[in-house]
Amino acid sequence: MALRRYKSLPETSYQVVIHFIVGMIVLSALLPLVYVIGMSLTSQNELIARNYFVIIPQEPTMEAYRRLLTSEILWRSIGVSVLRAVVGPLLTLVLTVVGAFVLSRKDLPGRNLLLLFVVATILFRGGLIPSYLVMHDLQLLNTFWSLVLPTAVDAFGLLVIKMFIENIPRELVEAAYLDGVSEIQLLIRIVVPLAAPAIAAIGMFNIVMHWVSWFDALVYIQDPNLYPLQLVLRNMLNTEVVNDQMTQSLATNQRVSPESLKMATVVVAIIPILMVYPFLQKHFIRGVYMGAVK
Amino acid sequence: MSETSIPRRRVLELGALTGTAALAGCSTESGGGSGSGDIPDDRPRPPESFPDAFPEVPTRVPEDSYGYDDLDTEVSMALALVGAFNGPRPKDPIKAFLEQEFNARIDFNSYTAEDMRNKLALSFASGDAPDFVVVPAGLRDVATALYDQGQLLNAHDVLGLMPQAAMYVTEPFRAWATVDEEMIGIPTYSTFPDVWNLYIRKDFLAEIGMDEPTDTDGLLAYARALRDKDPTPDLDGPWFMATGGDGAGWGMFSQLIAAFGHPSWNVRDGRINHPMIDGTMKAFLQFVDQLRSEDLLPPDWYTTAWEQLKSRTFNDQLGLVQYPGGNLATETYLARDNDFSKVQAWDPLGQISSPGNPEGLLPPPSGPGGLFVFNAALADDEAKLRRIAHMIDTFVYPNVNYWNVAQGGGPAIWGDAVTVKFDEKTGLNVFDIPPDAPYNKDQSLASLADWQFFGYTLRWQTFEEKVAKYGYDWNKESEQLKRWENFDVRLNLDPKPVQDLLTLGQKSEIQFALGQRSFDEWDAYVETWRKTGGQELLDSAAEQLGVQSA
Repeated sequence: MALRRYKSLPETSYQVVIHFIVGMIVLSALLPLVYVIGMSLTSQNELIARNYFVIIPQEPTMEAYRRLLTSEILWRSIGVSVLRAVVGPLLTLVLTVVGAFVLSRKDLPGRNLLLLFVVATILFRGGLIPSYLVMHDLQLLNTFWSLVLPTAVDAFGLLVIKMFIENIPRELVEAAYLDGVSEIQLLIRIVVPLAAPAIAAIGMFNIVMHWVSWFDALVYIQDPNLYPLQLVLRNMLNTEVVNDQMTQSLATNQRVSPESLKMATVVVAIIPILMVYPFLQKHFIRGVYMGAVK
Repeated sequence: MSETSIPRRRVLELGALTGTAALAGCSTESGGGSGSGDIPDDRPRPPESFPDAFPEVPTRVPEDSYGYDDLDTEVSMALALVGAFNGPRPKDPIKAFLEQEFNARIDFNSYTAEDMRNKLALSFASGDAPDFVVVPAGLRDVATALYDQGQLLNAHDVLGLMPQAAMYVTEPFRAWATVDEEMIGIPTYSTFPDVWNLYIRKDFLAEIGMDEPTDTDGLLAYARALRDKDPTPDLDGPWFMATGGDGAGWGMFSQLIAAFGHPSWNVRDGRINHPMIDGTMKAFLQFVDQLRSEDLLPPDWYTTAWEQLKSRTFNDQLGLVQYPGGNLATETYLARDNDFSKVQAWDPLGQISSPGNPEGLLPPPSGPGGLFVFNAALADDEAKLRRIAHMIDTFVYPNVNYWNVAQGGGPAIWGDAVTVKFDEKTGLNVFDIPPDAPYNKDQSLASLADWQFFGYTLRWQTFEEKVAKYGYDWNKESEQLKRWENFDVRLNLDPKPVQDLLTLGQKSEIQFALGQRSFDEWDAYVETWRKTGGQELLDSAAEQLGVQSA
């Protein structure tokens, strides 16, 4: 990359200062990540000797990762989370796009009332017990669908996509009708491609939401084999205090530092998102802008 | 859906319990408990009186004690408790063993204590509740609420089915588990005996030329000597002590409160008393303020978490800690590269006296560990009730399946991989699990250990390995020390003012200790304490204990 030449001293100074500030911000974002990785590779004795602050371990150990990655439980929960992060957003996008398309039609009878119902779900929630009872009565408790159906329609996303659809030129739609397209063909061939940026952004938000969620699984799921990754990792992290109190007698003491195990779980949890995010970053940022404008 | 913040979650829990109450009110069952007085004629009767203390030597009940249970009938049961690992159990040989032994289909779930609140509220509200739950002592209010809604059986009626568990229902434990003369659950012993104690560095004492302190003035002198004479000149510190409470409480310092007076509810001269009104808390905070102002504590003495504090504990930076003796021995040994002399550098302190505590009594003994509670629906399924009671009773010390469900599984599960030695004369046991035991190597077996929380206890467990035995001896020494009387087990206080006062204390006490508030304001603070719920609790406690209020 060729270095830029700045025309004046003030401009050069300005660029130096800006680069320094941004560099500090980047460092403040990277340092915690480096710390987490360093701690995850450190043995208990080294942690104690170095006051629990290790960036680069002197005698790195992979024991925490070995424990985690050889665990059948972890891989099964990753499978549940991946399935959830694929099926959930797909279902959400299909229902949300269809709903937005319908509600974008100004000639729809009762449109304003329907929009009010949608907006109301953004402002108000049913509550924990009513939601649980609905899932119970629908016999969805302890099933995978309890993790994706409650959030199947994204009300905020629906409003955003509706706005995009409404901004499609009327002439384009009329031309399409003149060509003899049906409503479904109009949706698939014209509306979806034009609203793709909004759809991608909403989809990205949904993927992240499904990936990080654990509370719904805690409430609706009894079978631990259906626990998503975040819930399994959360329970692993919660064992630290009790595990420590039982060190003397509990032979199931992990023999690996609880701190290292905790940090290793953090790394394992964020790697998938870190791998996917660079490719979908622009859509995520666009989604944030759309929310701000809205 | 993002993680719910803690305050919102508390509102949800209260709402869930209120919802449970509303739904229960719509049902035909109302009033406290279920099945009271309707004991089948052929069900063994509960004991008519209860001992004052645990048996000297625990013994196993005869095998024919369970003749009431027809094992030819298959039963499905759902069990739940608060576990340590709470992960999935894709391979569960303990469950397979129990299903075969007891001709049952078992659905076993374990949760963290915080999750258990949500789970109990939701599951009972929806009618999907487990048949049997081990409710930890800290969630007794949840059990009380469920019992009041008619969701639980009167446990007294079930006690006859559980002779092993009944052995440990002492009169104080029975009173703790009883609300309005009905037993909401069968009280159980705690996992840990009273082995927390103060441990002092003998080598530091030798270096600075002091004897072990026997009173609070001696502790202060020791703290000053550590600063002034510095027995470790090449290292940071050593300092007197730290809390390890992560900024959320007094942590290790809590034993110091007891050195100044009774640390909880008590009776003095026929009147209810509390450390807030008799000067105990003030004296403790003045002591901490003095330690802090004279730079006798490390910079992070209040904010460091327990785990992080180990770097100071095991790097010779602290002169005094509060620890379970066995843990201190084992952790020191492991942290100091298996150097046994480092373990021997610690010594348990004896009684520490003060003007408010001339005998140097330690904090009160612990109360029950929890409650065995039974779903009220079992009143209509006697066979299932008997099977559950029979099976769970065999998990209680030292019954036949106690070791089989403890520590990830005993001899019936892992054969010769584990060793159990039980001495019938002393009631003590050794449970040896080698480092290469199956579940020490396979992470997917880690959660098998949660089975043990039905009945596991360290009260009667001893060790043969050198370091563990050394720590065990410390524990035994600590258990012999005299303690304040435990009045808390006889009280059933309204949880709301208790929580309000806890919040007030956490916010205010540290201000006095940091010198941010003058002790001239102490009386005004006590007034605030009374108005926040302290007076209400004083009156309630006085009524329950049959003494005058304060």
